[in-house]
Amino acid sequence: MNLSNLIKKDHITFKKSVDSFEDAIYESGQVLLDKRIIEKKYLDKVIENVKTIGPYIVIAPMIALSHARPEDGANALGMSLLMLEEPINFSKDKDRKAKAIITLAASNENDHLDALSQMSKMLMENMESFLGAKDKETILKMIKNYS
Amino acid sequence: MKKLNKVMILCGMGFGSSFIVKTNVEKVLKEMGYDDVEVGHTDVGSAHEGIADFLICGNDLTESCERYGPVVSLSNLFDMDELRGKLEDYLKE
Repeated sequence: MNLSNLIKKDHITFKKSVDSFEDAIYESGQVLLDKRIIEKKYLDKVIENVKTIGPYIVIAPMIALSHARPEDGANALGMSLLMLEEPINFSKDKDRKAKAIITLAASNENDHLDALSQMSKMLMENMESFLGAKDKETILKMIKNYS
Repeated sequence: MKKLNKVMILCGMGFGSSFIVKTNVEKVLKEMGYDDVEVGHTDVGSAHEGIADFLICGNDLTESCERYGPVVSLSNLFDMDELRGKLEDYLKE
């Protein structure tokens, strides 16, 4: 499935700031939760993983990919994006700040790979514009070019 | 240059991030003249010693991966320059 099919207008949220990385994860995943694409325990697992394994979900400066395994509470394929004006740190002692928190859920090992490749390509070629985007239209346009 | 048969990319869940890096690694290895290398990806939990000639992971997973083999760690999974530089450093003998 294409990136543009997964990240629709209502899957993108802009917010000024959050109080903690836990809040960022819940806010980013909320729309998927509302649509029953994931269960709350999926987001709880992401948070647990960050606390035990470390902030490995911050895969590039300013970009966090919030995800757990399908069996942790993902019912279907889904993606959502939270863009923060003020980045939040996912680590207590290192600089692992992120302003774009992408939630990814898939119910099996493969469905998400196309969209993930498209998203990677998009980010690799437009990192600055993506992080500087101030509205949904800019992001949707970018996504459309890569889907 | 070191000889190379197999590289494993490890990520926390074996679900996404490692796949992102896989395409980039294949590209860079080819550029470096490694045509016949197996590039796999899985989660740290499924790794074991000897799973590959060396491992690539995000820098927050380095400690978890070191027990399985030599590790090349990345701070930015999207940065081709970082990947190229670190692979060149590791592979030149």
